[in-house]
Parts: sequence; structure tokens; C-alpha cells
Amino acid sequence: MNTSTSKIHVSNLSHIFIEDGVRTHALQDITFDVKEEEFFSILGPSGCGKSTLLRILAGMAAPTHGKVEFGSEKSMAFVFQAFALFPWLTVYENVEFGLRMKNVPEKIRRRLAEEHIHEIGLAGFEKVYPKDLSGGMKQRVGIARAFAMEPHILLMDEAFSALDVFTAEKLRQDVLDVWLKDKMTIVNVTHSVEEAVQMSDRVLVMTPQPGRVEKELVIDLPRPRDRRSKEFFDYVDHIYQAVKV
Amino acid sequence: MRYGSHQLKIYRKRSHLVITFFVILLPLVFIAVFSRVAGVSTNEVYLDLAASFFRIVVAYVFASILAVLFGIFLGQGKVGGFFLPLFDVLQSFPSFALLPLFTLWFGLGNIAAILFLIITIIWPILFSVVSSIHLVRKDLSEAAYIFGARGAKKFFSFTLPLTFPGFITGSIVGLGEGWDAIVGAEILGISPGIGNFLNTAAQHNNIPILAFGITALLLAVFSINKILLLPLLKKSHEYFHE
Repeated sequence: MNTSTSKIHVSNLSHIFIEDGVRTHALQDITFDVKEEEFFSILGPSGCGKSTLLRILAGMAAPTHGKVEFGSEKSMAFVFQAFALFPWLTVYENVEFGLRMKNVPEKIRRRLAEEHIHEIGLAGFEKVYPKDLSGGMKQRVGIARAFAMEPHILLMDEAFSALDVFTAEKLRQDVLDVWLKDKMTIVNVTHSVEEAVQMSDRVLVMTPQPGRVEKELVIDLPRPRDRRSKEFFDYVDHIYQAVKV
Repeated sequence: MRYGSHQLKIYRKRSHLVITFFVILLPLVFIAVFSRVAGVSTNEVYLDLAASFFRIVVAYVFASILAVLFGIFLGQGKVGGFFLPLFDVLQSFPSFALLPLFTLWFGLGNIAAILFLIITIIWPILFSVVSSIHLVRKDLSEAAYIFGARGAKKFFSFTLPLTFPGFITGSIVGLGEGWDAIVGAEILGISPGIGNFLNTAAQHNNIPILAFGITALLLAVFSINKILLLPLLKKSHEYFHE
């Protein structure tokens, strides 16, 4: 792999939890690269350590062994499975939270927040509190909050798994639209094979206990992808074979 | 507080204002009418209530600031976790035990009363704040971290709002204990004050005046709860339902 275009480089990464004296090998000897502006999915069943891996990439946890290196720019944003919106802030205030923390001037902050609120379909909801939104709308806020940072790297932790199928499908499409337009590196953690095939340039398939890399797969399908095509199903089949549960 | 201001707008309807007005008026009218009928000085009752109320308010302000700061410190990190059991022991200490010492140093006046009230009111607030921090959802802390909340910005934009519901719950309990304590302290000699008023009435065997004092106190406490604390409590519950 040409490392000059690599955005994230993970090498020989292992992670061990020790809880109540019990050692759990969450991640074992993980090595992979994520390229600049690539849509990269980490796919695996529950307990394969994929969320832990994402948190290590985000700098929220330090790995027991191995290292994570980044290309020149490493500004990051994160989309959470259960949204993690600040309940005391309105939609608008949630979206501009990261910009406010970064001391971005009010004028630019407003422009960025409004732009991304419109882009993701939240116009008219600026003054609403999260408790008054449906799950799908909440995740739109979570996504707008991340996009407003204009990050070089976007990390998504099962961002669509708490939503009903129709909402999830619509939102995946909206995220893809923004990604195709703005181009950034996305690392998407998921347990949905179809989601991985539909969205990703490349998929890292992981297996549990301990969490290891089973396979790395390029999804060589034109976009927008036809979920009913034979090629699509071939990829899905192929991955199901690889995930040994 | 640009970000909190519109949230705390509790009185949205005209009917709320009218009810609020009556709740404020109720104890005042009761005292005015009853004292006239019973032949007690209206001003004396107002002054006694105001003296007690003043001590509570001042002590509450100090106790709140201390409780929130200590609560945030004790609620997070290893150092906080280390000191928390110590504060648990301090909480169990009966604050009345320090009242004689305070009155010895500062006399039977406001300073002794307020110090004594601070060490009474502080505990429920402090421990509610600690538990709001302990109970924070992990992903919410992660979101604060990944979106760059650090230092003072984290304190004002994340930690402080996070402790708001605990602060309100603790305040309700703390102020309840505060009224207990101040009436007790005033019966024991700190004057003027509503406790003092009740004690004097009892010593003169004047049951109607005693009943009147108790009712006036009850109405005053009820009004404060109704006007201030209960709406805040409701708001804080709403606010934390994501």
C-alpha cells in the first residue's frame, strides 16, 4: 500500500482490559491503513472490539500495544450510536458546540452551523431541544455537529443502528451525499454487512474473542450503488462467509 | 448565561403569573389579617420571618457555591474519589454540635446562624452534585472530549450544566433541612427570627398566636417551594430527558 496517501496508519495494535482481575484481550495485533478521502468501514459482530478500536483512533483510549499514526491533518469529529447530544442545548447550540470550544468567532460559527443544519435537513428545528426530536432527527443533529467541524477525519460508531430501517436508509444516503461533495476520510464502525457494502470503498472484517482482522476487502462497485444488483449480493455473501460467529 | 436564559423561562402563560401572584400574596395577607384580629404587631411577624429568611438565603448562596465546586471536584478523578469517603463522614456529623461553638465566637446573631446554616444546607447539594457527575452517560463525556471541551470551557459548557438537575434536587432537600435548622437555632436563642417568635408564644402559653406563627411559616415555605423550587425541579427533569 502506498503510505504517502495514507491518512491513518494502525500498526500491531493490541488492547487488553483488566476488570476485576480478569484480562480480556479486546484487540489483537490489528494492522491497517485508511487512505485520504476514503470511506472505510470496520465490520464485525458484537464484542469484536470495533468500538474500542474507534475510540483508540479518536484518542479517547490508549492502546496496550502498538500505535496509531496520522497524516498531516488530523482534525476529527465523531458520530455516536446513541447520539450523545447535550440535552441542555438546542439543536443549533449542539451543532455549534465544537466550534465554540475551538473559539471559532461567532460569525463563522453561525455560518458553519447554519450551513450544516440546512445540508442535513434540520432547517426550522434550530431552537428545538433534543428531547422533542425523533431518533432520526436526533442523529441528524449528531451528524450536523460532526460535519460543522469540517473535520479531516469523521469517525462513526454504529451511527445508524439505533434507527428504524427507513430512517437509517435515508440518513446513510444523506451522509454519502455530503461525503461525495465535501470529501473527507470516514471510518465507519458497523455490524451491518449491507451498510458496509453500500457505503464503503474498503471494509475491514473483524472476528471476536480476541478481536482480530479477518479480512480486508475493496468494494469495487460504481456509485450510487444498486442494492439489488448481483454484484452487490456477491459482496454481501462473500463477507458473510468471512465473518465466523 | 446566554445559553441557559430562555430555558429557565418558567412562566409562559398569563395564568401562571396570576397564580404566582396569589401564592406570594397569600402569606402576606394571612399575616396582615390574622395579626390584626389577634392583636399582635404585624411588623414583628414580618420582621421575624424576614430575619429567618435572610439567614437562609445568605447561607444558601454560600452553601451552593461551595457545594457545586466541591461536588465537581469530588465527583471526578482519582483524587476526588479518594477524598469522597472523608466528606461522607463529615456529612454524618450533627451540625447542631457546632452551634454552641459558633455562638461562643460570634454571639447569638446572624454570623453564627449563617455559618451553622451553611454546614447544614451544603451536604444534600454536594452529594446530589457528586451523583449527577457519577451518573453521566459515558458517551456524553466522550462527546465533550472529542468536540474539544477542555479546562474552563469544559467547566462552564459541560460540567456545570450537567450538575444542574442534581443541584436543584439537592437544593430542595438542603433548604428543607435549612428551615429545620434555623427554627431550631432560633428557639435555642438566636434572635430575632420566627423560631424565636414561636418560642415566646409558647412560653406565654398563647396557643392561638403559636398556631398563627406556625401557619405563617408554613405558608411562607410553601410559597417559596411553589414559586421557585418546584418549577426548577420540573425544568431540570425535562432538561435531562434526551
